[in-house]
Amino acid sequence: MSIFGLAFYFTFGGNILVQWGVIPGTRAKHAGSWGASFAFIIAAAVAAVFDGLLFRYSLTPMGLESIAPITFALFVFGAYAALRALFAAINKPFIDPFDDNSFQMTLVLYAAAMTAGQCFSSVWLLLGGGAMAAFGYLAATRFLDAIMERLDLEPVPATFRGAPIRFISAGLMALAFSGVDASFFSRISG
Amino acid sequence: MGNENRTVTTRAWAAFVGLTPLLVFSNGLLIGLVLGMTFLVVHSTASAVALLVPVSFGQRRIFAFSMAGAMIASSVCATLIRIIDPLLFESSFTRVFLAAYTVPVFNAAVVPSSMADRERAWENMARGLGYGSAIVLVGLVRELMASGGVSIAQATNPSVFLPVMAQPAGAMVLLGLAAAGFRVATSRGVDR
Repeated sequence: MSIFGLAFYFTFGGNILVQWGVIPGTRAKHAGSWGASFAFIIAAAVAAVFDGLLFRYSLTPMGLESIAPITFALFVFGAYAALRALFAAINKPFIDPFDDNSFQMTLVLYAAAMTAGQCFSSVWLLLGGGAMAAFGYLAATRFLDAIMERLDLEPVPATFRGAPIRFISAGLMALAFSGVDASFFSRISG
Repeated sequence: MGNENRTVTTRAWAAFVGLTPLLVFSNGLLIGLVLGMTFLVVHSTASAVALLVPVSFGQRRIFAFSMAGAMIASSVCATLIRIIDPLLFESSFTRVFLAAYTVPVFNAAVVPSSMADRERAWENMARGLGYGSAIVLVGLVRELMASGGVSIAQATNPSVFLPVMAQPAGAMVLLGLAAAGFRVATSRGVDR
């Protein structure tokens, strides 16, 4: 599996299922525009580059790769504190970004940062890893949502209704991405 | 099923589904043991810190402290793995770091709101043990289905029997079938 695949599966195969609605009664509403989605991909890619460079030039030379989660936490909490301070400095009310989606957003950023640890060779790979993590998020929240709406109209056996068919649908989509990963991304990133 | 039982089932299911990143990457017994052990340590640390920090700190600060503790725990686990087997660390460190970023750990890091909940907080440890065991079990089953055998050694079993089970797609299909099997076994449907 390539680093792009790792980033994709972490966000797609994992935590986004929670928001996407595998859990009964928590199917999320995705009102964001495609412009916002694009901005989100850019943000994830930039985060990947930042954290990747930090990992490469600060942690690795000192042999401190193991503390990568702590540096990421400091990065996230530090960015949050900086944002609060900025709003306080310009005397504007601070709108707390830690809403219901913040958990998934943080995970996407972490997936991007995580892949950065393996992308030593190129900034382009860091950008690609971050973008692919964001793409995994969007695939789960947009494409699979459409599949779910279609499945609502299909005569699914009672045993498989709900979570089982959603997991299996996600599995089939993941299988499709595995083909793309093996034939395209693996050749780019190794 | 009563509303209360339904809520409990939904929360338990939500926490289990939140483990999916680890279940997806747990494609063998060895990596399952590594991830399960790390998850148990991280989960226990998060729940212990949430209980030990004074309530007067406020919910948000306690959450931040608990998550910081969980991340430090995952770093300690990664360091131990590196000392024990550097090759295993190289092949698994990105997955090990994920343990602190799963829904059950986030839930454990939230300070219990009532005194009754605080007194029952030891259940978090039992939950962590259960989730950790589930990660190991999924790794074992996937390796068995992918290669037809199980081995604790690294990369000894080629995926020749049912290769798709070693892929992330295999984990999701397995979870879907497990959910359907669970529904048949308990004979009580879960709302869509």
